[in-house]
Amino acid sequence: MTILTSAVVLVLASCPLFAQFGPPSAAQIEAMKKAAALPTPKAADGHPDLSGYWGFNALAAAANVLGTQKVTLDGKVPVAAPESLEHKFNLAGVEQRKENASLRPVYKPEFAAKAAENFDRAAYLDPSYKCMPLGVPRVGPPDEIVQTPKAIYFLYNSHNIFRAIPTEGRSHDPSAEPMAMGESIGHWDGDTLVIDVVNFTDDTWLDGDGSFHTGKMHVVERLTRKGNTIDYSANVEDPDVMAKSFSVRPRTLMLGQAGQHATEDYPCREMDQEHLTTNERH
Amino acid sequence: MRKRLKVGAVAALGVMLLWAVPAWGHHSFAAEFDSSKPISVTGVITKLDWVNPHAFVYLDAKDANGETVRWTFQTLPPGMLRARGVSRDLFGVGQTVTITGFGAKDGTRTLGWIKKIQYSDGRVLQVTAEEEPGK
Repeated sequence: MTILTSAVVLVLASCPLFAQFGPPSAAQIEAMKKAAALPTPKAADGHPDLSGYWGFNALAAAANVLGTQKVTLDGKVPVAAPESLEHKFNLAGVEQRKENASLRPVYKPEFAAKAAENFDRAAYLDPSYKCMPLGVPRVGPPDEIVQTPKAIYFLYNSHNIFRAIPTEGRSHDPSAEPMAMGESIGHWDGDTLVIDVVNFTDDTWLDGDGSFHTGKMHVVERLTRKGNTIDYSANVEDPDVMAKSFSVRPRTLMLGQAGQHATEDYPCREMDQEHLTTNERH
Repeated sequence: MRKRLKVGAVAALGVMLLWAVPAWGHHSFAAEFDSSKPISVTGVITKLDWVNPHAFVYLDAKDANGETVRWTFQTLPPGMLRARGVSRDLFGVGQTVTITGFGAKDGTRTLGWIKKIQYSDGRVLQVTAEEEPGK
């Protein structure tokens, strides 16, 4: 690894964006602990109030990390991170994910070949590359939560996604149309919001590495507010194809600043697939 | 004084940052473009597609026979450009510019990746790094 590559990896590892995928820094852990130790607000009905902006603002973070280099008037490039470096970074990242099988579900033996092919050809096969919905749980925790006595609403910064999650005690609708995001029904288990999601289509992935599922997938998400943080986890069961249940990497969200809201995303239009010459991806 | 707008002095790093986010999955630069194929095209920006997962700039240029050829140039995602302080207005639809960048790996002659845009008033929109490391 060259000195420059090392430096870039260090920068990546220290930035909040990369922290989503790597270990958080000591400062981030400390900030998280302080936020979690604050009092947990309650709604009028006594349940924890999950309302607020919880989004990781990737764009703002990127701007912040690179902010001093946003606009300059001299002709010099302070740090060169050209395409060749991105190439190395991508190859290493994909190889690391391939070796770490714990990141993906374990499939029944008869589906192992499909999972392997999906991984190796993800740049061509990933539904999200073609502007298809992410689905649950790939979409992850919400960027903004609006809590009312009978329903909770999840808003997302990406893909213009929202989820309306009834919490008044109804059951799943057996006649509901299967959807990419499924049908979400919530209930409170003590101070934890539990969301039961079924009625999926089978055309989304669990990740960018080819982890597929059937329409019978059953996802259970859990959100527990602790002070100004929320612990998020999701468990996936799909016994038709998976050998055992799969737990998505848990995440802890931090409350954003007052006045922050989820924002509309730009539309998606795929124009690359016909020009791809390799399977390289991020 | 010639102004330079460094959309990302470490723009490729910025791209990596954004691409690391699960929001928009997409391919790598190297899957579609060839950093050993430098190109430079002068023409008029006719249109901007401000879409995910990449924004596109369309350029009408004259070929060797004087015929108008429409070029398609890919650039950073719109959110990334916005984060760098680049609004869609800045691209200047209707302006005559010179775009330098890289050609497509699949041989499509009128498809490229933008490294920088030079405007007639002297501004330079630098989208990706100019130099290879170690050079």
